[in-house]
Amino acid sequence: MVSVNKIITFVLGTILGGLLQLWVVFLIVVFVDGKQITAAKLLGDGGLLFFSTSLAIGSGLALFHRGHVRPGTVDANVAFAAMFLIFVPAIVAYVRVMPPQLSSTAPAVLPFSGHVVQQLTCTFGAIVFAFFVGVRTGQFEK
Amino acid sequence: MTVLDVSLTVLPAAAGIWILVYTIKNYRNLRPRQANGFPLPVGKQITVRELARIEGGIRDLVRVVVAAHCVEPPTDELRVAVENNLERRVHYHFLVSGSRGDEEIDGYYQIFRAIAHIVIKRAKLEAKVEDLVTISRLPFEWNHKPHIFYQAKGTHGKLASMVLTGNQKNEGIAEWYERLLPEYAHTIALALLSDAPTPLTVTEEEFQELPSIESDVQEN
Repeated sequence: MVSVNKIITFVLGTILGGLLQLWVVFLIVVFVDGKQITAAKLLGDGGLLFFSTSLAIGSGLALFHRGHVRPGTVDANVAFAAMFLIFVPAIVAYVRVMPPQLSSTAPAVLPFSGHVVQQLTCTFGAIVFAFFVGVRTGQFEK
Repeated sequence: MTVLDVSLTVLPAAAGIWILVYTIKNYRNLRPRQANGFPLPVGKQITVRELARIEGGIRDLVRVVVAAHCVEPPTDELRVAVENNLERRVHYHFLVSGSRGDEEIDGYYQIFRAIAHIVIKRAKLEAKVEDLVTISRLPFEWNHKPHIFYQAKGTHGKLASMVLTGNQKNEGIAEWYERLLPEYAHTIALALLSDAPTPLTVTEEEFQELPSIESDVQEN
């Protein structure tokens, strides 16, 4: 039996709790400072790339440990594919952006402001993968 | 935006959509197995409180075998579950490490016997304490996590089995438990009974022989 409340907790916990710093900064800038903010500025530090890879690797470990998934199964292949398709874009984006910034005498303040969509798709993929792991390990069962 | 940028943007999104569709379409098959009607998926970790709720709620439960280094007393909800199970004549059998046998006889095992005695008097059961609670010494040291074997009446008169393992070694009751895959459970049951445990005598009356888990597991 599926627990809707557990699914809601997962969604709220992952999106609100996992990205808490982001929401705090957003609230401070918008409601305390009263300023306009864009997604490019808010996500310009590339934090979502770290969040995505961290969530994906954590989910993968949970799947193999608690889901008793063995290599060579459909579940394992889904996990490998998902992690590959999240890690590679995140790594490529980081490698393309950071070396020039590190070698520059005046690095940009928000170097990932041009990679917002990429960060959002990585985050989407990671959250969906975490949901898959939750289903597979029975975390949403009553 | 280059082709690389587009690819790296589209790929995670495509993967996410595909996994989401796959998960929703195969939701029933992806959920952990709940074999034999036991209300616990394989791999799901549960606390002792949840363990008590499950132990007390298994329908047609016949026997509980606890293999552990030593016996620990049930408290709170677990004690209530044990009482209720004894009242419905569920047999509790303890398998303890070879070196612990004599200590366990005068240890917390007596609490289980006392609970069984109280339940027999209260519920006016026509049973002896030994019909409900027994203990055996394993011919080796159980330097592992505690394992709990549940056996309940299944379909067609066969016994269905479920095995939980704790998270702490050399304990009687662990902090949390998880259900093992049926094939692991079978292997452990066979290994456990490869050498017959020695019944421990508490009173002058002889203990019943160890219930045959092996045959029941094979039936399952």
